[in-house]
Amino acid sequence: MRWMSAAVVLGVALGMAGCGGDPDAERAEVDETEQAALAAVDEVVHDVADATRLEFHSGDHDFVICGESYAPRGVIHRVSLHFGPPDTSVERAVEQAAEALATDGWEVGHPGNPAIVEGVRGSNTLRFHFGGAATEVSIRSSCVETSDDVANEYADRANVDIDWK
Amino acid sequence: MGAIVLPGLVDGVPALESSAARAATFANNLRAVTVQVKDVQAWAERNGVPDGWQGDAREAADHGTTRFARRVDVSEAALERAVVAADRFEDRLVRLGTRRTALVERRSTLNDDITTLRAEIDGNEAVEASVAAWERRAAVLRGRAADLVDDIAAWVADAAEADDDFVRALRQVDEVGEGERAAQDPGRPDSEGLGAGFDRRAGDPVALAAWWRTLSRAQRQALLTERPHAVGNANGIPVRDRDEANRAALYSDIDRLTRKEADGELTDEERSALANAEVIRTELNARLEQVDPMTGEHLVHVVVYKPGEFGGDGGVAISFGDPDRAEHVSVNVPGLTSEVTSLPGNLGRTEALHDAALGRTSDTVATVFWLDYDAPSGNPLTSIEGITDFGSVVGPWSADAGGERFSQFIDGLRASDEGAPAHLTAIGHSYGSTTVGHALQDGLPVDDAILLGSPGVPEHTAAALTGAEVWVGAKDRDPVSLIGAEDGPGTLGTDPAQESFGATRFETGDGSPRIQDALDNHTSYFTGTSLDNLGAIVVDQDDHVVHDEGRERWSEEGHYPTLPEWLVEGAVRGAGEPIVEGVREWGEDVVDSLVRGFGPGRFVG
Repeated sequence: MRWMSAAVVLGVALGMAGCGGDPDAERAEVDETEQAALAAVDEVVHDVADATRLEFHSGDHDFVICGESYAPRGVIHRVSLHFGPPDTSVERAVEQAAEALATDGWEVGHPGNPAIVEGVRGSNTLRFHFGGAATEVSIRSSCVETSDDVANEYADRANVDIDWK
Repeated sequence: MGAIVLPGLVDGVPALESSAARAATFANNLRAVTVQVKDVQAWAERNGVPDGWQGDAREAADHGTTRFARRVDVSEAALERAVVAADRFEDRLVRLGTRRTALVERRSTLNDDITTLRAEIDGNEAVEASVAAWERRAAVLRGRAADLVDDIAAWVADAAEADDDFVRALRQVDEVGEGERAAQDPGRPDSEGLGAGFDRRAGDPVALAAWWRTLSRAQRQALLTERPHAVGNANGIPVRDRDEANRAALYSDIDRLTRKEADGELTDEERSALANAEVIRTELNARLEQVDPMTGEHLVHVVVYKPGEFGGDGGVAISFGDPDRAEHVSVNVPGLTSEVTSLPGNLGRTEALHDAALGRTSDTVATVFWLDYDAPSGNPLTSIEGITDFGSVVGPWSADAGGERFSQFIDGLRASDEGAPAHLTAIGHSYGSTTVGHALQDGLPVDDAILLGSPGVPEHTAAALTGAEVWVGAKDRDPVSLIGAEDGPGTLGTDPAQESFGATRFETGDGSPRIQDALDNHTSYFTGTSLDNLGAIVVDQDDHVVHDEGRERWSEEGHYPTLPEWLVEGAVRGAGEPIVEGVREWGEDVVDSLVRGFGPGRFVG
């Protein structure tokens, strides 16, 4: 009898999860999200790095599934960039980053931590976290919904290094 | 009227040439090598003379292996010293980084003040009274500038000294003679005695933590490389030391098992362990450069590393931030299908929670993913074994055993906590919420508990479950969260989202009504409004949590679909009329039988 409860809840859903969708259209949407994030690296992140004199250390980007392994739901694109500390106070660096984000058309938000400033544009959220020892920058997309196959295809890709020019 | 002398703007503070994170990586690599050398030495001591050898052959073999073991010990002693030096260097870099932050802030403020005064002087007419005031302010600024320049110079000198000391320490053990002296040093830590002391306290996190604090850095490092698996998984050991031990164990395991694989000697159990270790390594490597901007230390810590546990599913716990030093700590427990190979998605969600929580506050935050219990993990669609393992999701047995292990882990975090006790939140998702529920029932020492998409917890009310504040996230179209609800089978306990349970339900959205999206609804608590609320609870900003009504079948606000209703609605929305009747009949039959068997909202006590 107890098996039945699992069957009710999960058998139906597992059997029907991940159906439908045009894989090519889904891939195009994921690729577009990725390109938007990488363009931001080349544009506003460079602007902020120049303004606050950040030294680039390393960076990469990848995809991760939105849900669980049994129901991936889609993918999230993530960019991770690592810099040295700003050449100014954290407060000033946050101000300069906010200004550059606004100029570049991002909706700027100060979530509460005085060392962090965020920008939202489309499905991407760009975050600068400044500190005395380092600066961490991330761009994280919201979940791009896809079929399970397409989600796993992207999530299985290896991390790709960011080419910082 | 004399000239007003303003100080020049102070130059920038140079960046550190070495980073704490890279020093830590160097130390981790040294530890892994040390562990392997110790393994070789232990092998030599164990297998010195083959069984049955007698006479001259026995004497020669004994002599040879003794000499070999002694030479290995020289390398081991040298590596121990190098590890200690690297560990000390990392700590010095963290302190230097903290000092640098203060200097940069002082410089920024001072230069602003100088610029402001210059603008004021340039833009105003000089009258006697204002000149006197400007001169007084300029004098103060000159003093501040001189002090700052001196402090920056001292900091630069200290940074150079730290580099020099580290290089000198390494050079002191880079020759055989120096290694021999290190091996014979009477002050060398006694690994055997330390191991006995560790064994006496293992299992008692408070005693272990207290004892560990009495050890020197060299003693800790010696034990950590002698017994990496034991130290890394011992509750009560500080998280940074657990991380160092676990990374050493991880890298040496991969090296050893990869060699065995190449030799065709890998067992099935070892194959699973190797696969799990590689998944963990991949996740760590992807975050190797990720640091805490305040300190420059690695952000990610391996708190549990058990690649061969639970029939090959493996056990692991990974933290973003340092739970021992953080003011707010959360630990999330996953549910069904969780095993080490599902780590990437789970860590992604944990990281998202860490970002959400940290973004809200300047307090320090650590967010831990904990999977050190036998979660129902098989995929029932792909194998018989999967069905067997997955079947445990309908009973509380794994949750009960897991709850006990989770309690021990939390006891360990409480014991190794530094400073004021952290604000601690336990989070359970899906079957993990039942696991957390069992731990709460046994007195889990947390401040808040969050139950997400819960199929049930083992008490009828929050007050009976725990003294902690209980929060519930439950989408009305998450079928798993309806198992414990009224008219649900209730095999795992009571639905905590019910109004009568007495927890605080927060906003998560209801989820998509289509049946195809059922599991998506169940797996999307770490996004959007739900994630915002989780972040607020984790950093104790209860006022920022958006509340939702508790489930109450007969009230307008709390109304929710029962499991049979949800099945019908989902089928209609998702697949259209043709299959509605079939699904309705099938769903109602099944649920009726379940209800007859277990009773609505019944829990297994």
